[in-house]
Amino acid sequence: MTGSHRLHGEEVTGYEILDARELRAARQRDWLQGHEDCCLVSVTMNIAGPVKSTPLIRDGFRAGMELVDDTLHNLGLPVRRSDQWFAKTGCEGFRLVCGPADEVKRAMIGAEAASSFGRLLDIDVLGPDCVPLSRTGLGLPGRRCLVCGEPAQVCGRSQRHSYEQLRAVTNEIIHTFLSRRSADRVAALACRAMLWEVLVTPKPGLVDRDNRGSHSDMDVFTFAASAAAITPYLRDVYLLGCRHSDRVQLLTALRGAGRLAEEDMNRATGNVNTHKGLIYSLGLLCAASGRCQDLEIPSISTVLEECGTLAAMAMDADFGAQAPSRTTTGQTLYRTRGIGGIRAEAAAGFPSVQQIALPVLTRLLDAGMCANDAGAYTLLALLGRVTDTNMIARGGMESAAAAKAAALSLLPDLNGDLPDLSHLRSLDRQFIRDNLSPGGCADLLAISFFLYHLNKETQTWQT
Amino acid sequence: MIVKQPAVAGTLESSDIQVSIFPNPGNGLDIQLQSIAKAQFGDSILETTRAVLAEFEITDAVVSLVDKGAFDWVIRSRLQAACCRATESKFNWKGED
Repeated sequence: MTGSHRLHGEEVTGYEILDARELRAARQRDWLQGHEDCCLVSVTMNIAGPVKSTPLIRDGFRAGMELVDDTLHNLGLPVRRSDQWFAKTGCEGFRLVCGPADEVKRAMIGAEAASSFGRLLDIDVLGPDCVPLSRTGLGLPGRRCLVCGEPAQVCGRSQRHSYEQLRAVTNEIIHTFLSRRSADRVAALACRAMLWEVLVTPKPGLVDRDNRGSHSDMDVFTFAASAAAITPYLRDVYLLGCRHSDRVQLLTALRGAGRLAEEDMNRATGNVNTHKGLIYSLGLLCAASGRCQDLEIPSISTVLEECGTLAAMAMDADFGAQAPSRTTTGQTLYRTRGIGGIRAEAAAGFPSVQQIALPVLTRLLDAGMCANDAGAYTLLALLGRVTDTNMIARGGMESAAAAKAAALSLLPDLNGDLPDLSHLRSLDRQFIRDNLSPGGCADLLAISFFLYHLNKETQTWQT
Repeated sequence: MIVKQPAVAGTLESSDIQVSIFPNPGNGLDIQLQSIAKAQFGDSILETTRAVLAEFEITDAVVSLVDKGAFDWVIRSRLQAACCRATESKFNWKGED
């Protein structure tokens, strides 16, 4: 789903394009002047028709320049000067690189070939003589037409395809590339969050690197296998979020994807429930992130708000009159005691994460504390303040309340002094003795890791 | 018109053509064409070139064309620009539709 506002731009005349090309050639000569040891990478987008610059095209161009910069970084060649311009006649980027033009050109052809998106980039590499190296000059095949696969120059010259057709293919390629790239990045962050959560040690009653907590059927390896197995699902639900503008349709698709992801988890773990809660909550968060992808700045609060809206709609279905007969602990507790658990958390936009966990985690990580300890203290903050339906399910109301009070006494003030980690180990022994496992709080810790990194990364993606 | 000085128009980017014109007094027209689509469009490019040179009444010149798959209107525009620059004349807009 690309908003139509992202497809509009000013029309330019052919003569303006010709002028822009000559100006570019003059600027190329200017950049190369006096740099005999350098070559110039000159990047434009391959856009047919009179509209050369739209918000979508500009986003595609930025992604293209990132591809070029990554390739140059990988070659290890120093970039002496760089700039880019966003004119109505089309986006342009220059990189003056210290190194041999043919080596750079070969690497750029590789970058163009790495995805169908690369086909939309025109990456010229000019030697000190200001002449662009050609593919065929390097013994490499020329480019093919976007639409029919015939040699591009011949097809383009004969104007076999309409601008409308070329523009539709172009927009689809850019949109697909950007969506998939974001989906992969978001899914990788979600996978990292799941892995970091299980690695944090000590975690009272939970599987960590010291012990299995109050569980006999799983360890860190089970969690790692499960995280790997459900990461593709998290990428898929991000893309579902991008695609479905209608929330009801999206929720139907999410339910289906979630059920299948549970089976992926079961296969990877031998039918152990490691991540059922996160399949739900990280799934909703990834889908919400996908829905926010077209926004200029997809802030964490926008994502959480969208997630809350989706979760509230899902909750009506799960807990309402039409709820399915097969029930979970969360559903039973909601019916009997009015405790909403993870569904209520999600529907409210994860207030425990926003108000408790994320501020603590952010403060500690930004102060330079290692991920393990920051994670352990964040979990402690959650244990003392959140009613965890997993705790109630395993130990009963009283036992859960006592454990919550014990955790709160260790960290009564979120901004106060931190207790020694040995206190968390004592709490771990106590939880194991009472067969308590705060799986809900563990999920909230994973969500906090996810949102922390999503926030950091979206800030760098914007620049 | 007389080609008074060497002149260049256009670029070596894809879908463009670089036209270079040099004086060639008393020796007629010498047109050299390099094109990535020479087999398909070589004749048409040469035809356009001769037509534009005739419009400018240029009878003596060396014309070098390096074509990267330009459309006919691009070839025409680049030739006209190169001719104007080489003959130091202003473009006659009345001749265009």
